[in-house]
Amino acid sequence: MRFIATEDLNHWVDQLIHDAIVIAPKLMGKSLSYEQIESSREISWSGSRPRNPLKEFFFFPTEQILTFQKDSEGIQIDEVIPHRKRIILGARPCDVRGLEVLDAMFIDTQPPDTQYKTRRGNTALIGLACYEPTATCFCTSLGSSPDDKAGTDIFLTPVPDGFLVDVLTSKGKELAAELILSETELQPPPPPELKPVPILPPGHWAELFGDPIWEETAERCLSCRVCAYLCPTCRCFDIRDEPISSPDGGQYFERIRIWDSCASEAYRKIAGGHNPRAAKGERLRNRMYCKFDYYPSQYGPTACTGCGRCIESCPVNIDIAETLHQITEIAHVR
Amino acid sequence: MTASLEIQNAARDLLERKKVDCVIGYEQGTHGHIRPAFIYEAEDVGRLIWNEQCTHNLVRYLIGREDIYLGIVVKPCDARAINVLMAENKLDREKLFIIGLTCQGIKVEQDYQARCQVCTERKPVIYDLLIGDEAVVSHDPAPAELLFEQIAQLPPKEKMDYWLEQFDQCIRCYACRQACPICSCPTCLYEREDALWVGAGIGLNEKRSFHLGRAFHLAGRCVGCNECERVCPVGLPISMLNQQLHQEMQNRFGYTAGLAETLSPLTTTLSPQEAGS
Repeated sequence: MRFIATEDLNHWVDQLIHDAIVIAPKLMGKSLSYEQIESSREISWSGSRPRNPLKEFFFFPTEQILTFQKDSEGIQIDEVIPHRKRIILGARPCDVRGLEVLDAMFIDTQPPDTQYKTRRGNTALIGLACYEPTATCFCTSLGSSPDDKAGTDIFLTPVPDGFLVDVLTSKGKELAAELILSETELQPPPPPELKPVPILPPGHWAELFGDPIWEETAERCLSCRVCAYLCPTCRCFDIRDEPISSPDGGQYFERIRIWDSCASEAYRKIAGGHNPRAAKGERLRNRMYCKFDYYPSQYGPTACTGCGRCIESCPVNIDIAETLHQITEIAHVR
Repeated sequence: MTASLEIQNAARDLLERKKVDCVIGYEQGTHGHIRPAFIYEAEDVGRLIWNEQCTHNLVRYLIGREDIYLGIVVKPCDARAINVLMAENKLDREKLFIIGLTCQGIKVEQDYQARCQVCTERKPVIYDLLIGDEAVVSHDPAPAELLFEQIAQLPPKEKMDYWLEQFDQCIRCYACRQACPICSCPTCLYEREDALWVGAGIGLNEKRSFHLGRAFHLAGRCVGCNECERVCPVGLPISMLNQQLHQEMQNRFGYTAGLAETLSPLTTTLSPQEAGS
């Protein structure tokens, strides 16, 4: 195995910051958050997965996809393409898996999404093995694990005084050229064990559609969007055209794409005011079906990585793992 | 008899005698969390519990449920939200059975929540049945207000910088609004389809408008249950805004929301100068 001392790693990060946007886990208040950093001193190399999912650096909460201008000549439209090179450090396996889930829709399905795809290409992922799982983590039930290297360009495993380093892709190799590595006899410690959660495979969900469990579980739902906005795979969005300030008096507009969530009451509202998913139970059911039935059927991967953020942050303890246990039981009883 | 047992007995009685269709209370959830519970059958009342983790303001769940008769478990702060909603004609008292609990404060992990450290209310202002010992011992107020006072004293520029830094972290998930028992507009001003007053983007300007606007809309109506702050996934100190406006209401009108079934004087009372002009 190859090893790098924490000090050398930090020095390397400070070099990277000169040429690229660097994003890493940083302590914000009481919790870690993936943030753009200006110095390696801001990085927290230890701790549980950050509070925000990595998706927000690829699929922005709000992003300008077009700008347009109206003048006497007519309408001029400009597409906004991201171009900056970026490096994400300390990416947790659940978040990297989340990006692979999103790739299935944003990149692998025609036509690919320009902004998302460009960002994925521009960004290197330096993964970090996760030895401090939270009580709500269950990534191992979804085919990943706290030491899953898949999808990363370089993978770091914490050991005393530094990290074991795996360079996995050509993008990683290019970045690692400046890394001061030494050979070591150290082996990665065994990953933490997580409590298994049963995942009902696609195809077994249809019979549960009319079950009372959805309405019962959702009765306490507040219809906020915490679960969706902290989810590494929730990807619904709305598109709006809004005016932007025009110092020269011209008419400028932007087309923005903004996060949306099926948990919110107005999400499914259609012209004329009808709401086909007006009940909270219908909305919770949609969230579960989307993750475990619709998305895998349509795009391949299951749209849950077991990161446990929604469980941890739901203000009223709607627990996706508990629901998965309950419906598996219902499905087996039938 | 424990308060949990008393709540269960009251709920069983209400459901068996068909006085209510559902009792809203608290139950044990997963990972040590307490969560709201909706009990429709007398045989399920055993799920209901009461302890110092019962933080949710269940009054939130009364909004828009005029279709049924409800029993509800309330703490003193929650009870004031009922008064506010009744004053605004949003609740039908006839369809409500209020199980009031005396409260010494709600804990987050080992310590009392910041709001509870300064709260002196021990008994709900409105109830049909009171459960709990009234002669509860009050705990010493801790310096929970320190940050609030520090920020309030900052020069305007620094104060604005502090708040913009906070709002910047907001993800506009609306958990604060959705958990609030008072935020009950059918269509929120900040979520209109036409983006008339504030854009749909999750940007700093929109977030600032949302938080400041929401705070103003709650002036004289906010009961200080701080659920908005508790549910915030990024830990914004939202209650400070509400506290500031509560202080203004105190200074100008000597008013505390929900002590009685009255509307916020901010929108209903004219000063002598205003009335005369």
